[in-house]
Order: sequence, then C-alpha cells, then structure tokens
Amino acid sequence: MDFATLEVFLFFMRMGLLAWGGGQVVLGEMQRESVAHGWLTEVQFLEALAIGQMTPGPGSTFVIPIGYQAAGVPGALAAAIGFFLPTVSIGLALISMWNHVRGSRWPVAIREAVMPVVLGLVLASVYTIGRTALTDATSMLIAGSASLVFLRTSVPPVLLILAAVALGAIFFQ
Amino acid sequence: MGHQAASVYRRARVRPEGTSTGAIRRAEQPTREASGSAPLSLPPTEYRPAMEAAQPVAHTSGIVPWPDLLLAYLKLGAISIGGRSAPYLLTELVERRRWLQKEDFLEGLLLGYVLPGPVGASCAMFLATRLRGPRAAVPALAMYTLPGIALALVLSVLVFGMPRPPWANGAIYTLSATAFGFFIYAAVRLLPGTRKTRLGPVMVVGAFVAHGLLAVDLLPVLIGLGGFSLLLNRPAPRQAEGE
Repeated sequence: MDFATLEVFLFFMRMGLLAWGGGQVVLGEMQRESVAHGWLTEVQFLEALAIGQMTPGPGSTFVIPIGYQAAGVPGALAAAIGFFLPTVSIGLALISMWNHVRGSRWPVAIREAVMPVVLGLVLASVYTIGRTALTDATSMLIAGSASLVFLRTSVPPVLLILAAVALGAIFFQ
Repeated sequence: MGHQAASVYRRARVRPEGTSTGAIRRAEQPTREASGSAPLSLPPTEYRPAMEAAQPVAHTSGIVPWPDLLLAYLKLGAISIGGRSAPYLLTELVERRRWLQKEDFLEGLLLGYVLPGPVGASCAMFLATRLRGPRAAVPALAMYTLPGIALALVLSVLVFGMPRPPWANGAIYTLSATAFGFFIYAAVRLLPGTRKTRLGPVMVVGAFVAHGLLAVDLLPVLIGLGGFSLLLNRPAPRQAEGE
C-alpha cells in the first residue's frame, strides 16, 4: 500500500467513525478536506455524490469515486474499506449487545418510547433533503407524482426510478 | 432446534407477492409440528405472520433459510438506487416478503441513527440478525453492499475518465427527484407506527421541528426527546405488573 492509498484509507476511516447518524453527517467536512487535499474539485465532489445516487446499496458509496480521484483504483478500495469496515465492526458488536438485552423491560420501553422520535427524524430528513434535492417546480412535480404512484400502485420502485432515468436522459438534456 | 425453527418459519410465512410457486408450495406443505410428529416447543410468539400487524415488536424473529435471506439482500443490494437504501428494506422485507414488521424496521433505523457509519448498512445488519440470528449480519451486509461498491468503482472510472454526456445530467436530475419521491412514500408508510406510544404524535412533530426546522443536531434530539418520551412511557413497576 503506497502512502497516498494509506492516507485515503485513514481519512475515510476517520470520516466513518465521525459519521454518527449516517454518512450525510460528515458530508460538509468530507467536501472541505478532500478539496483541500487537492484530491478533487468541488464540481467533482458533486459528481461523486451523483455516482452515490446512481449506485444501489448504502448512499455512502460516494466515498468510492472520491477515493478513486485521490489514488486510483487502490484509493477507491481503500476509501470503501476505510469507511465501511471499522463502522460495520463497531455496529455489529453493538447490535449483538442490543439483541441480547432488547427483550428486557427497559429496552422494550426505550424502543417504544423512541420510535416516534425516529419517525420525526425521518420526516425531518425528508424536509432537509427535499430542500436541496428539489431545486425547481419540475423536480417537485416529479417527486410528488412519484410518491403518489408508489402509494397508489404496486409498481416496483426500481422500475419506476429506471423509467424516470430513461425519460430524464431523453427529455432533460 | 434449527429444523423446528425452520418449520415455524414455513408455517408462519404468508404468501408474499412475487414469491415463486415452489416457495408457496413449500410454505403450504404441512409442517412437522402441524402433523403432530414434533410438538412445537417454541413460545407461541416466536414467529408470527406479519399480517398480525397488531402484535407488538419482538414477536417477529424467526429463521429464514439462508438462500432466501441472501438472495433477498442481493436483490436489495442490486436495486436500491437513489442514495437512500433504507426505504427499500422497508418495502422488500416488511411489505413485500412480510418477514418483519414496521416496528422492526423503525428499530433498525434507530440503531442506524445511533451507530457510526451508513444508516442503511446498520439497519440492514440489524434486520438480518432478526431474520437469522447474529451470524447473518455479515453475509447479508456483503450481499447488500458489494453490488453497489462494484458499480461505483466502474462509474468512477467512466465519469472521471471522460466528459459527462448531456443526457447523463437529465438522467441524474430525474433519478434524484424520483428517488426522493420514494423516500416520501416510505415516510408516509411509517406514520401509523406511533399510535401505541403515549404522546407519540407530539414526539413526531417535536423531532421534526427540532431537527428539520431548527437544525438541532441528531444526537441531542434523540437523547432529549427520546428521554422525555421514555419518562412518559416508562415501564410499570414490577409489583404493578403482577396485579
């Protein structure tokens, strides 16, 4: 492992360990530091986020294009391993501990008490992400129509999203 | 025990939409405990059909066969585009396959919020442990993340190796808006899940206002409002339970 790859690995490991509450928590810090390192420009950072949206699985796959720009394919792999492996290890340990106690009186009470707060946080995410994702009336119309179709029909989400991507490629160039 | 648990799984499994005919046939076959050859010794609440939505959480864990579990997670890992994968866990594992209940999903989200790293990954690991025990977390997570990691690597080479064509901008624009529509859908589907909690709707609004409108950090909201809600919904003293 060369120095650049090691640097990428350590950077993303630090970002992952700071990302309590999801990858978006460290987005600002990640953008500032990766641009300051000279790994990529701000425009390329937005393109990295777009790649994260286009790929399935956890949205934090946007770390891969950043790592790629920093140190090529080894950098991309170092970013993925650095961001996911330590946090997954910690998560696994804490989930195992939680599973051991979750049937007890207090954990059951905690779960039922905190559920509404989690739901409020989900709605807050809808609001905050919507403010940045929906940039104009057209995107609001698309999002609103899509949510109605999801609610009213049983169309598989991925089919609708792929259809929207195809239409966007044709009509929104 | 493992076989018994698998029998429970087969008995409990409802007909999920899109399940193969073979799987449905297997689900409809009489199980050992049903035919009387092996009396069911598990507690009756060990695994219940998710259609019994009124059942409280912690009653849904059972044993899903490895191939079904891994294929479900591989499918999730291959289709959950849009940058927010957790809602796909809700639609696939709770609504489509009916392996879990909404409360399990919300519990997974809660863990995702309080653990470091991607919310979807923590939620996926937790739900895998609910479906097949602690050993399922890592293989399920691998199925869930590897397709995306491979595709992100390929797209990185393509996007940064050449100028982006104009059609790609349009595709990303509609992808972003439609994926956000899916996010709205998942949030709406979760709304009825707070009825059991005392002052649940107030907590929902409070968390939304604090984190969404006032931009208070996530952890203070979880600890502050969650602690207050726990105070209101604390378990009854043990003496009272026996009465």
